[in-house]
Amino acid sequence: MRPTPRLVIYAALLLALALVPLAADLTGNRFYVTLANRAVILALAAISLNLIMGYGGMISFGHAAYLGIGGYSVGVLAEHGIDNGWLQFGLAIGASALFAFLTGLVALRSRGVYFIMISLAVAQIAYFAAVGAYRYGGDDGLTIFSDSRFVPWLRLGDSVTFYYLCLAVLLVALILTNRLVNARFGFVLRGIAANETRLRALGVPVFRHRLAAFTLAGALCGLAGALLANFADFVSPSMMDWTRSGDLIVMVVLGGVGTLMGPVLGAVAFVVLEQELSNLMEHWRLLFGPLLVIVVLAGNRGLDGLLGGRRNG
Amino acid sequence: MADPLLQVRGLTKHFGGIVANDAIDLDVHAGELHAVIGANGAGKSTFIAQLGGDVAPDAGTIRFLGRDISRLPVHRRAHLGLARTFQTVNLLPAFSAVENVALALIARDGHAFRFWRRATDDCRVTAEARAVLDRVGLADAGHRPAGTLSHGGQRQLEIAMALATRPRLLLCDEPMAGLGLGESDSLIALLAEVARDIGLLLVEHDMQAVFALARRITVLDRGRVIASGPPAAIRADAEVQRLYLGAEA
Repeated sequence: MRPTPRLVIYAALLLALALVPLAADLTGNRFYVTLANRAVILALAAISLNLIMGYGGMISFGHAAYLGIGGYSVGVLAEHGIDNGWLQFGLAIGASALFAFLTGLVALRSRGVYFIMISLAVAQIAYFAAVGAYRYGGDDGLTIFSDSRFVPWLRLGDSVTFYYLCLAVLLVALILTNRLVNARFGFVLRGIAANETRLRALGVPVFRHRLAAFTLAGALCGLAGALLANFADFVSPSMMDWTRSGDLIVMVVLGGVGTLMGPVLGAVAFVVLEQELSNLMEHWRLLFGPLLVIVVLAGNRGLDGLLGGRRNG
Repeated sequence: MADPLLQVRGLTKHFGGIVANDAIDLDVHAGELHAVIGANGAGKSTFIAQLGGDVAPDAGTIRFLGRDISRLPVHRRAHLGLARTFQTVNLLPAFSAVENVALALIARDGHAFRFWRRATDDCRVTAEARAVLDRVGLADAGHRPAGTLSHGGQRQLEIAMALATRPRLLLCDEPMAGLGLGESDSLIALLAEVARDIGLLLVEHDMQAVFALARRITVLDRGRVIASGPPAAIRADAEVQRLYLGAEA
């Protein structure tokens, strides 16, 4: 395969992400690592949303709920003195998958705007459950005093170690997503998004297929949530505020719906713009909004489209 | 005579006060092309929708291969060997012709929960998809997005997708609609060939095609079967002539 400009740019982007800690050391500005780490974790969440929204045609407006469920899995266990990372992350992924499965059982019986509303409503239940959980800080959230512990040599408390861990998880997620959307499962999933009636008439159990994708996306976002909890050493209901779900949609749309690297591009652009624009003015979204409109209109498929991207590439 | 592939008895569907299908009886045997004709609003579309599983009947039974499928969901009926084409072209326009057919093949296999291997790297699938395309006369169009094919080509692709599921019975809902003269001739030839091996239920407005192809014809009027039999008998039927063919003669 001949390397296209787009491939080169994506390789450069991943390389740049890998070099952020070095740049931070050279310039003495540790904040770069924090910023990049946030972008990498949100990219993981955006990838999981893109799986169902971009490839599966299911616009979930409650995806931040899985960030929260993953985060609280870590926080609640830590609160009870359990800092075993395997247990924490296992619970984060398992609980998110279960929540997605149950949500999907209800929401996937509807389509279009009704699906959006049900996914939002279910996410709000998770939000208010966290607000009402006084034992775990309620509205004020929960501070996590010990990082997840996997193996002795992996110290998540070290910001550079943790950053590279997150980056490695992101790379693995990208590879797996690439395989998934081109394997039979993803092929059929894209087929369902393109023409549900047709696929059903061909004998595809559409509901079951969608539910599996929805559950998988929930699990992946739960993993992102567990990383986010370790990143902030803090979880609160605001992690799953509905505006957070909106931000995730914006990242996917900004980067390019239904493209492999779009969510990464979108998350990085979102975090950088949020940082830069909020330095300029308090109401930074006043600038961000028009920018989003321009990118989407000009690129067709977001930033990925601007780079000459092709769907499913 | 052998048991019919499809046996419909007393099939009834109301929409509010309107009786769309009123106690319809109909059989289709293997190797037989059975055409259903009737004026607009006669209940043909409702009938097909009930057979396919999109609409649940109010009364009556649909037996397919000896099994009652009246309450079975759409995809389960497809797995039993009931395929259909749609009245308006219903493809995946952005997918290539080969990919459209490959989806049908994968759906037939029922092993779509594979997460690693590239679907289109599966030589068996792509080779079979090309063979099916070849059969319907789309051998050269495999790589083209379905949406860029001519209307006739899209109709052929519809049938290719249905055939790829290796059906025992094919429901064709007005496959000739919008075709030019030459296109409908080749489609008639294709349907005749298909109907040699399997059962084919054809809903069609094109009377020339119907009388050229059908071994049996059932005439619907306001939801009821008013005549059913071989083409010659239908042509001679007084009520059919008055209600339906008379308008064309």
